[in-house]
Amino acid sequence: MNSLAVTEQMLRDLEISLAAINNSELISKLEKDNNALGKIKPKECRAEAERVIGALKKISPDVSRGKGNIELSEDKPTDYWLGVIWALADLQWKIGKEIARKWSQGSNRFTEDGFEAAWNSYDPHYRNPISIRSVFKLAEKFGHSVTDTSTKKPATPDPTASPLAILNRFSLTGSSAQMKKQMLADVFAMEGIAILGQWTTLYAAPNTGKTLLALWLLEEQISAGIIDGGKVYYVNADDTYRGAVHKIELAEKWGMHMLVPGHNDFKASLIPAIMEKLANAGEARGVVLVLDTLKKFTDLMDKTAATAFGVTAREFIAAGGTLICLAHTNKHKDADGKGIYSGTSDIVDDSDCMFVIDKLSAEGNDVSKAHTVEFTNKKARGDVSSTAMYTYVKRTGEPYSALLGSVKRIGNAEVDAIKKATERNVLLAQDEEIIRAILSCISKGVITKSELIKAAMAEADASKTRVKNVLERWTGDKYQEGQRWAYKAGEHNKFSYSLTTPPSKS
Amino acid sequence: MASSISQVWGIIDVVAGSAIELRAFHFTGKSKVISRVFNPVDFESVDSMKLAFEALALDLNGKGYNIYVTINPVNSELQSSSARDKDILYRCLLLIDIDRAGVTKDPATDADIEAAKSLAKEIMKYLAEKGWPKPTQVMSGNGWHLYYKLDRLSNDNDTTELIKRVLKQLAKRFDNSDVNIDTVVYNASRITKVPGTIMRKGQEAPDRPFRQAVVYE
Repeated sequence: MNSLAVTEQMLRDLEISLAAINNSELISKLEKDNNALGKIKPKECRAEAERVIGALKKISPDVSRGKGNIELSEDKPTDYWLGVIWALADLQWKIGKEIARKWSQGSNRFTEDGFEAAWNSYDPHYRNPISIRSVFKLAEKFGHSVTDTSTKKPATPDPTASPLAILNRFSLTGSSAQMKKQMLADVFAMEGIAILGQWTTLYAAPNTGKTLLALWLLEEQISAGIIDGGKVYYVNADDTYRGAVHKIELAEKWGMHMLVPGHNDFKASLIPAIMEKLANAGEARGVVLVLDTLKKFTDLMDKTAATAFGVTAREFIAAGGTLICLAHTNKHKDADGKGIYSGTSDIVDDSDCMFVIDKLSAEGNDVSKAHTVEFTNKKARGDVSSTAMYTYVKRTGEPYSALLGSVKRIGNAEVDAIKKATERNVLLAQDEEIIRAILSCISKGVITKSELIKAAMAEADASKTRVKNVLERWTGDKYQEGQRWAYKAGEHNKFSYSLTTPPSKS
Repeated sequence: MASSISQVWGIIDVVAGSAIELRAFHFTGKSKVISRVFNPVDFESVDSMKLAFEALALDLNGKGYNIYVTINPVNSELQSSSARDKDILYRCLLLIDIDRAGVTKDPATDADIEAAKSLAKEIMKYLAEKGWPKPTQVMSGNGWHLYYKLDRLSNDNDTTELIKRVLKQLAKRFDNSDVNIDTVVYNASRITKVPGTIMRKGQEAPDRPFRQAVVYE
């Protein structure tokens, strides 16, 4: 150990001694000015209004008018009605008067004139006005448990506190009502794919169309009025300048926000801090944040970075935010031929919901190509689809809006048909060499089964079983279903093979 | 008091198997950030590397760039142009950065610097009572820096969080209405001003001059 250097233990000791000093100073400051917090007026917002109303529920309005003060030295104060009215007036909230009226109406003594006179008698210039803090303290005397946001608990525990005190501080028992308010109903930010209030990650290989589909799915919900475009923030960090401009135009049309790193001083690296601030400021609720693509916001190959991102993302979600991340699969496929997420498992572990998007087919020519993609759910917390399929048509020279306009969701019947077609195409590709050999043999006039098998075996250099299987698999009249030859009875009841005609030639 | 740029080596250690990064920001913000990694293996000797660093720093500083250097050793196999937290081998310095409170767009006044120095002394005294070693002091141009040598702490999340908490507690204890401790200088790849170079920002005025960062023994 270097005696001229600061050790980890010295840092830890310093932290503890400073924490002890800082906390004791804070406590004595509060004790000296026990009215200090009362002087801070809560801002007018739903949460604060509910807090005040909750406290008033414990205070009976059916008491004498009093002189405008609340005598907190008494065990069960009386004569506080005017004091409460003035404390509510002191808030200077737009809904303060209505809250005061509703509360006062709980008493048989209530008269509208009396209430108006009392409300108007409040003097905002009074040197030592009564504050809402006194109302909370009064409510406490009647059994109300007060959650005071102005004395919000620190995010990290006081290192000098006892372990049991720290554990108690983290307990959520008693917070269910508050948490319920944060909870969002199962509403989809992306139909069947991403639920509001969750973290959904969509993995796909490059050029699968994940940005296109994400935009289409968001637009669908915004247009239907299910989500508010003004609360959707699409961070487009994986685009060209031209591509970004086209997408900003669309976002403007939908009333959705689009952020692009390098523009308006925005940097992708700001996102974790912004998520944290939204959560801490209570502004995350309802915000839908889409990160395209995730690797621009954290290092997916670095476990520490991915874990840190996960912690921030969970804070954002716990505060009512919705996070949708688009990410890349790696170059490998799983046993079912589906894509595998790229990076460490931390993002998948921390996400609520995860889909892998695979391209099933791309049919057409160089000018116009129809793409079919499948979303396969790999992790879910909620009633999301297990699979979903979409098609889109890419035409050379067409604008991005036209590409977006070509996206279609595929129904269940079509899904089955496409899946069958996909499986068929895979088999056709596998059997291609033997199919060519059989077609060649039939063309040369080898049409009886045993001769055909023998000739195809020689031409394709394949086993008898393999050739026989391929021959039987693709026998029939339906060319579109992959059938390439038919087996029919001819003259003298002699069975022979003939080529199946493609539909365009029939 | 003038300071030689070579005094930077009294603060920043150049050790075998590690590199340092020079980063330069033009004070107008209109030019690209310049970043150069200095790896001893690319030079005949450590001394020649130091000379090359000093030459580039002074050249860029003369062209209006503010010059910074990484405070912790950088992995010599660094692939990117700039060191990130994961590229730091271990932590060997704790930076306590004291600046005036409020808007700091323009250069500090002498009174601002005096206030920062005075708080630095208070902190040094307090830490000395706790058995901490003597730090290196630098008048950073607009405030005061204290550099405490760390006993090669590992570069991991625990250390980062510990340093972050310590800076916050120090700020809680010592911040006053005139000067504050910067609580965001906790990351491993933190860069700091190079002594012996002039720090420029905002609008220079007779009572707010651009100053050279100076080491105080």
